[in-house]
Amino acid sequence: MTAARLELRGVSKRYGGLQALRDVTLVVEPGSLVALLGPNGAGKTTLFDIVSGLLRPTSGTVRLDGIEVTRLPPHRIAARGLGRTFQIARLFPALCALDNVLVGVTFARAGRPGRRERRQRAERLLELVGLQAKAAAPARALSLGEQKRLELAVALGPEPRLLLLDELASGLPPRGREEVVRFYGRLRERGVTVLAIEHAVGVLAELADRLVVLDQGEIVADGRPADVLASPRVAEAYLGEDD
Amino acid sequence: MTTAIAMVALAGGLVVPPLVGFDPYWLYILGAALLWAALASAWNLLALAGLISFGHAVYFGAGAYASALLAQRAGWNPWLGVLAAAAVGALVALPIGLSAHRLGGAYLALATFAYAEGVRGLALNWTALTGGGAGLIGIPALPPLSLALPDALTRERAGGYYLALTLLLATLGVYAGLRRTRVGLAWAALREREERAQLLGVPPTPYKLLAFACSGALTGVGGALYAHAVRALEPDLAFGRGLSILPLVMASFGGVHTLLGPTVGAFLLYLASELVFQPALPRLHQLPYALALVVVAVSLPRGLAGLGQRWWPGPDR
Repeated sequence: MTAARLELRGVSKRYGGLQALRDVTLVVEPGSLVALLGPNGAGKTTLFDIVSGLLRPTSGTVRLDGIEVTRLPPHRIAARGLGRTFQIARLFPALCALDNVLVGVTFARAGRPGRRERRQRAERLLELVGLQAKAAAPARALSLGEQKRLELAVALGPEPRLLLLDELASGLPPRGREEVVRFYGRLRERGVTVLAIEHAVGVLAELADRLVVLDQGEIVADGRPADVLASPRVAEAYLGEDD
Repeated sequence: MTTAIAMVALAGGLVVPPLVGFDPYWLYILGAALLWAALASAWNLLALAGLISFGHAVYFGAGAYASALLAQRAGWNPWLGVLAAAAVGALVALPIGLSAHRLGGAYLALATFAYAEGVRGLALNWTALTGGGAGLIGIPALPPLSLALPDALTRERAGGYYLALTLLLATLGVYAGLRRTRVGLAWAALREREERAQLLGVPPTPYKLLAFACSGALTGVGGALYAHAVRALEPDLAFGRGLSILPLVMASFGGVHTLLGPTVGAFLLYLASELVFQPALPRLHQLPYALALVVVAVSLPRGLAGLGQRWWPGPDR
């Protein structure tokens, strides 16, 4: 598995009179971990939606490993190695946890793994997120924290080369956040390219290669975490207090 | 394993009536219930992929007319006509399946209804082909198979009964077989959350088309069996709205996304209509379907199967 390179050039998105993204240019190098920060409404989720194919930009291009994916449907972008989570987990509510993971394990991966291999991989992923005992439970019956962990296992099913992670730590107790930090560390070791939205800067400040700050659809800061966090404008206007 | 046991028990129980000398009237009633159960189960295949059809009459009518015309005018062996009806049912389903790429939920359901009504109008007016309002008569019956079958399996209405049973078991077999495969997983994922399924690599269009084609083919065979059994067809009957609405009501009452729910729903509602309401209140013989629809809409959204799931909750697939 080789990590993917993500490149956005001049991406804008307009909804009627609202400019959700304005001329965003961003490169995420293979294997790097980039944190995307910004206040509510800054355009972070819109950016994720455009990269994953759920939205088309008004202008600009998105490339994965140099190949343009701007107008590809989501399933074809997924087949090129993109995985994604949502701030509020989007699962298949009536399917059991194992089937949820099996969807990811089955469709977006290269080759056609056999039934037994798929099942074993899905079980390993459930174990990774500590949900092996809940394999047969419908996703809707899991707690919110468990649903978040399950979504992570689902997103890892296709062995993505680029992961878009949306607020992995939000809504979790302090211990859960420590686990999330450890998880980001493991992703780095595996060489997966990660673009992560996190509200709590502390979660990623030490691990991320770069922090990118969006505000009102524009990138207002992009650099090493220490430099970005040291910027008084960024700290005061966009990050708030680090918890 | 549970599915296999349920299938064997069902097949074993339903093989019996002709063998123990049920009279032709009862075989007719039970045979019709089996055909309705097959149609409701074919409709349920589509529901498995999260698609709702208000227009299944179009596949039934297309299969019925295709097989009847091939036998009557082209001189085909009616058995080959039945096979052709499967292909015609699947083909007729493809245009509406393609529209499912852009339409969803209630919009798709309305489109299926409009499509079926449009084809019914076409059949009514294309007199040279369909006989128009006067319909077709003298459709050849299915010839006896040159197999040394015991008399009890073929006499009087036993043949039609077993053909309907075969179609029901084939439909349930397709449902049970596909449900646990890659196709069934894709259908379940698209049904539960299409956007998420796409983000995990599930291409929606081919899987939706496949659901329409499977459901259309099985419904088309149902139409062909009906045409060769009744030996007369007219557009208002073969493409009638009842054939669009009743499978939906039966499947919803028994329980969509379950293997046997539609069969249970079809038997209960059809037998209640024919054996209870028809003799007592002939003008209101369709009341059970209306009541079932109200019950499902008001308090049993998952049908009778939902009652079981209240006691034994578990995941769907």
